[in-house]
Amino acid sequence: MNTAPDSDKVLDIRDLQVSFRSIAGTTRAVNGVSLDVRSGEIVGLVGESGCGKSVTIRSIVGLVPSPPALFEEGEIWLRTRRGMAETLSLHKNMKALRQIRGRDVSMIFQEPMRSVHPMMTIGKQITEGILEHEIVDPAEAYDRTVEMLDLVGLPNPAAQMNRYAHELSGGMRQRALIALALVCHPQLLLADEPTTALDVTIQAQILELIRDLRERMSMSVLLITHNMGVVATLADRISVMYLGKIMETGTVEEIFKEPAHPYTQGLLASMPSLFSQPKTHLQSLRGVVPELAMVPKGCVFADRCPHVMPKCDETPPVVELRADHSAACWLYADGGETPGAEAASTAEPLVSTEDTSGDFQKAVEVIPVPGTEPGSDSAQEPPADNDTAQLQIENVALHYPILRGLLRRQVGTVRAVDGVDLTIHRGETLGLVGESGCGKTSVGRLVARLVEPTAGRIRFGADGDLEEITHISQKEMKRVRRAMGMVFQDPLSSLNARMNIRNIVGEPLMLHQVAKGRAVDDRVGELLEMVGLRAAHQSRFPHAFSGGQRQRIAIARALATEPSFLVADEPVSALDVSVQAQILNLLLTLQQQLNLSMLFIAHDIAVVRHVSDRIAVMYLGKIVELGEAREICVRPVHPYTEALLASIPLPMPGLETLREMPKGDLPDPANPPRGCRFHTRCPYKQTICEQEEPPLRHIAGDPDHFGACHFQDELHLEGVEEIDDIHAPAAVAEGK
Amino acid sequence: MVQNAAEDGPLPLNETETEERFDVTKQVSYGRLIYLRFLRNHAAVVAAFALVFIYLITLVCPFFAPYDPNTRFLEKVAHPPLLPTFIDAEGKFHLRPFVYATVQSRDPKTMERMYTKDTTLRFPLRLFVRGDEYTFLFWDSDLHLFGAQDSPVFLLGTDTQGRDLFSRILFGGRISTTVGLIGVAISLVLGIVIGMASGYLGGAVDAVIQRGIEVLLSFPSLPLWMALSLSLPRHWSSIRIFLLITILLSIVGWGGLARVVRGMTLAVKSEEFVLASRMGGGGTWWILVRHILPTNLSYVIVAATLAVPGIILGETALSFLGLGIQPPMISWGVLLQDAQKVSFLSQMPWLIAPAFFIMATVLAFNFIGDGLRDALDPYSSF
Amino acid sequence: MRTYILQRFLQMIIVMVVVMLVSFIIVELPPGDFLTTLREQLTDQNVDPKVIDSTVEMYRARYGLGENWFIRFGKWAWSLMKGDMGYSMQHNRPASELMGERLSLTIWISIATLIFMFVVSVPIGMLSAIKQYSAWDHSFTFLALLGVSVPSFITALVFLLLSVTLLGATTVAGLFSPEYVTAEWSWAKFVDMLKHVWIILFIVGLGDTASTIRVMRARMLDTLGEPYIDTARMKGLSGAKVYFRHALRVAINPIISSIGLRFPQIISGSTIVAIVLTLPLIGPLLLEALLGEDVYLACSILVVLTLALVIGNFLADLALAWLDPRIRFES
Ligand SMILES: Nc1ncnc2c1ncn2[C@@H]1O[C@H](COP(=O)(O)OP(=O)(O)OP(=O)(O)O)[C@@H](O)[C@H]1O
Ligand code: SF4
Ligand code: SF4
Ligand SMILES: [Mg+2]
Repeated sequence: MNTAPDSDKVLDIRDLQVSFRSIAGTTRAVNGVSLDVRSGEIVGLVGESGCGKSVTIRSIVGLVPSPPALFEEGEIWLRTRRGMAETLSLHKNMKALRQIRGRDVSMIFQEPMRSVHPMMTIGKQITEGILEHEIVDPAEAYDRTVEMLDLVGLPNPAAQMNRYAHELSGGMRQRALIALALVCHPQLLLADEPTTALDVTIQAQILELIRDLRERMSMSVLLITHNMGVVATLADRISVMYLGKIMETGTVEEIFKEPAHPYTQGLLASMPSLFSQPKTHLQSLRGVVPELAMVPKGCVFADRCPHVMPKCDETPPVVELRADHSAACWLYADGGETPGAEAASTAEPLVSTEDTSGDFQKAVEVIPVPGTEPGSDSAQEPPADNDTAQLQIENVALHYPILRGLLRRQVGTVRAVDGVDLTIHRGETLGLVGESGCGKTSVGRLVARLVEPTAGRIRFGADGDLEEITHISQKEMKRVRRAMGMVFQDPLSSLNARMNIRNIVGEPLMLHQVAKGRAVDDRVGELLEMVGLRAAHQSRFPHAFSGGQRQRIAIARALATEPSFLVADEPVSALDVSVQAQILNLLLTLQQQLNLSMLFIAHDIAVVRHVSDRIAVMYLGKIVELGEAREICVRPVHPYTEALLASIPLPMPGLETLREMPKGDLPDPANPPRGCRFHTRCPYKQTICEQEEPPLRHIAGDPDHFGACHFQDELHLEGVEEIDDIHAPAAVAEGK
Repeated sequence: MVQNAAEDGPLPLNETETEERFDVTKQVSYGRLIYLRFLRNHAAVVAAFALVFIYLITLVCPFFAPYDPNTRFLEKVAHPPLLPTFIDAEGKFHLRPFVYATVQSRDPKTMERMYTKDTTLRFPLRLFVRGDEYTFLFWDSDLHLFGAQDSPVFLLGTDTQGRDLFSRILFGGRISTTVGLIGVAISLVLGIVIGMASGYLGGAVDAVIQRGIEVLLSFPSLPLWMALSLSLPRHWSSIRIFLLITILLSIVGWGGLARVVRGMTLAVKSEEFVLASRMGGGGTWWILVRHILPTNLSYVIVAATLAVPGIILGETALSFLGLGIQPPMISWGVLLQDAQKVSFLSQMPWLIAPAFFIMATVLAFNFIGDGLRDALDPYSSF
Repeated sequence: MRTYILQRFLQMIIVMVVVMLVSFIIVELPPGDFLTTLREQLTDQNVDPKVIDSTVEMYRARYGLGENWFIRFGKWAWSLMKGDMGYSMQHNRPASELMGERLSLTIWISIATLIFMFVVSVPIGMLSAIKQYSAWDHSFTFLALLGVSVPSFITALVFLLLSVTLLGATTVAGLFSPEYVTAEWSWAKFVDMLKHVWIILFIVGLGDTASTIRVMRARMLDTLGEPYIDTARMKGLSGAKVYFRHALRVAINPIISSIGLRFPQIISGSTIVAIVLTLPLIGPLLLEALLGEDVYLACSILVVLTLALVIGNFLADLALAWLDPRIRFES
């Protein structure tokens, strides 16, 4: 056995190898990972899905089921109250492992909604942990639990003790789980994607809480995430993982300012950030993460690496670039074609490619910006020229009744959409952004009449003239829908698994009698090639494609009838960062080629800003701010927009946000607050906000920028500064 | 670098590199994937073959049965099973299996019938022998798969009236197994139509149907069947009674299936591909027939497979109690009636043989249903 | 919680009314006039013509025969509610008298079977899930599938066969030793019954026990994969605590809520097993009534059994609501 590491380390993983055995064979999920966490440090482990992050972190505490897992090699040293312990060898000794769990090391999980026991009170679940490890009387355990709940910021902790999981929101559950994890004061907290399932504003709160608790409880944190922004805000050091291997390790500054490994560089470049040039192509990594069984020999990144060289057929060594910065890449090792010294400059051009985006920018300028009569103070969209408006919705509402009981009595109403006005012009992209449950998807479906509006007017014009479609029959609607396309969020559920690609993409063609027989095959082939797939793929079934490829198929289907208008409902939120960039690029290209107008819905304001001309911010069924995309991000006028911007974890370490974070949770949409709906969370709230609902009206001095805040003209809210002000290596401006 | 430039061209991504990653399993259709997964489950495959065999011999029973079910061997009443052997009393091996002749006598004390083997008379078994005449699908014949010349062969013995039990089991099986299939077919149609209507239309229709099914399921099925069988007119022809009983069994059985279909329909209805189809111009019928039905179908087939045993058992139980199929028509339940009497059973334990045929059939259906369900499980790997 | 109980109670009442209505239709379904049958039967039994006349007249009045169907239903339902189960023509006695003890024994045996089912299947299913793919799991998975496939009347027949051939029994094993069959209820009789009853519970409950093992195993496997089980493990709890305190509570829920579906099957099973083994339960009486075309008796039995089930179902739902906070706070 090797020796224990020096006492400075809380956790030391050495050359961990974990495989999974199945009927299909044995695949290695973790392939020689070495990682350490020092006292008081937050270490981030980043990587795309399926790369082995969870298996690594779960191996530490023996939570990987074995079989099917095989721990082939490696050591995991953990600092416990009894000194350093090697936990892999403890897998056989459950008793010793149990003493460590919860006391020396704790863990919080990705899905707070499902991680709290549904039938046990919060209090009981937490005290159970104390009583397991310490000899204390129940009264003391109770007091300590209340104290802990208070510490994690749950309001009225004594009352929370008797509540059940279903009575708490996602954010509150994650707080309760953090309390549960920390109640025995462990030295190390393992956090497996603790904020992925949460809304951005809640995510910001939880990250803040973890940072705060690290100081107060002097513990270390190992944080897993796929979000570069999250590690940048929280971590001290970062390890980047890909296909079971650590690609690069370094301090947060080094990784973000001087990423050495091509994979890290690619990841950073793929992210649309609040600083990048909108409507330009992102630098995406090519291809997709291969399945574990298909991993290339040698450097596992070789088939996606832009710098690949013959030497890469051999496993690259881990090169120490500096103290605390290492990368596993031949670029920096002896024997590689490029000596280490030149590596950085070789890597640099990767993020600023030749200017292929030039003509796109021109195209952006061509898009007609809606004119408006100055001085108009109506809350409506400015009366747009009929020639340019493609879609207009007025005061549209969608209310879902809440039915209860035997007789299905209506006991309430969820106001999913509650009076929304929007206009989308020919060739324009309107971005719709907001947190989950605010009614974004409902607006998208209302526009296509996939749900029937409770009130309001919807007008749509395929070629010039607007036609009222609010109440037309389904048969007429079919004709209208020929000019509309829709892309859905979940690439898995949006393709019927029982149909092959030809029938999926060809369905609208057949239904609209655009083509028959062989002509369908030809047209489907064309469409597939247009979205970057091969025409020969038609005979395959959806399960043969990756998430990104499925989303391409869905886009091909949406474009089959040559629509002039596209609704894209969270088209990239289920995808990995690198694939997300590919799909965004594809959408931008197609929009230019086909002169599409687009309603682009997403919860990530950075993504929305990247593709949109104008942005509408939605909160609890209402539009709270509407305006030109960059304008909204630089000079928001509604406190909610400011909160959204502030909540986004920026891939920019050291950028302390001093802006006000939104407090609390999203209110129940069945019972929205009176007056301004944001007043329960707004830091600028006045008495009037609780009584009077502010209308959507344009702000002083800018007829194209609308807000729904009483004080929009007085408040000076902070947006995101322009690109030049900040050194942002991840977003080196293209063409500059 | 070069590759990056390609990405920005009109073809945003060249997918050729990923081409090789598709392994064989990815090229096949969903249906074929299920089939391949099913084949991995050996128990289910064996059960499938067994079931095909059972249905074959019971459907073409006149040929596989050595005798007509009503042929009575008066001097062989209550004869125990006589299994053909290869080895004779002297231990000599014969290539052709044979049976010995038997002689009836009475136990002097109890006066019970006894049969003793006469080892001097050997009757070899032959294939394709001529025997009782029958009509199978408008085709008259007297050919039987096996038999022995000049002497009867009782594989499973005879009953109290000297009829060959094996032949009767095959003929009875024809009724019992068909009841299962026809009954499930009726349940299936009811279940699919009502379940899909309930799930897709929702609202009041759904509520009424669901409450109705709840009431239906809260009856204990056997007593309900028993009570319903009262309404069967006794004087009707046996084929009509048979059909009525089948209908009766499926009327009680469709509720469970309708629930499965409804659940699936609800789940599928909210899937995005249904919305996508509506965007593409699909109407309600198109969506039901092209999307919801095919997606449901595989699960419904599993549910139906698992529902067949219930119907078979219902018929058997009813007939066993004398409330279902009436003699002279035969079903497995009718055959078991004799076994109910303790006095018969103690002397002729072989009368319980039909029970094993029932169990084999039901077991086969359950194994197949289980195998199908596992094969359909989206989480199961290949 | 209170509104939930009230709602479920209302629902139960509605189901009861529908059940009675359906049963009534079944009674009315058979062709032929009930009174004619009755008169014929009584004549066959050589009953005094005057008595026949008065009996027939009594029936006409009580059930409103010859009147509108809903009046007939009302009268029948009302008399049923008063505990009047009708009159058995075969036995010339009120049905309730005939049913009396048989009914309560049937219900008790069914409840006992249910308990037997729980006690046997929950631990087996749980252990199968915990030790997935072990020899224990494989054998019980197979046995359970076997058990599901064997209907109770066949189990009963096989049991009969075994006791006849192996033990040389000449009479069927009943609920009681011969000396207690007609005896008054006493402690000794009860103890005697306990000695005999377990084999009946086994026969009646085998199928449902087997299928509950399967359900329990599947539910337990699902539950063990839930993230909150990881949370529990991360507290450092021992395996037993994780399984019993955390997993079992959730996994057992669907089994409790399935009581409503199990109970009818157990009653069905006990009916036919009682017929095969000639037990003093309600089954043989029902069969007799049906074969003798004693419609009102048959129907009363059906209704009473079903109502017992509906009430049982209601109680199971209450138990579930009491166990599961998610249901408790629903309304
Ligand atoms: N119990 C298991 N049995 C078989 N394979 C498994 C098991 N658990 C994980 N794997 C495989 O190991 C690989 C790594 O999985 P892991 O969950 O660690 O990835 P991850 O980086 O955490 O991904 P994500 O971002 O999606 O959470 C995956 O290919 C996964 O399929
Ligand atoms: S080793 Fe080669 S293939 Fe791997 S990242 Fe470095 S340059 Fe690219
Ligand atoms: S109206 Fe008042 S509560 Fe609403 S956003 Fe403006 S300041 Fe905040
Ligand atoms: Mg993970």
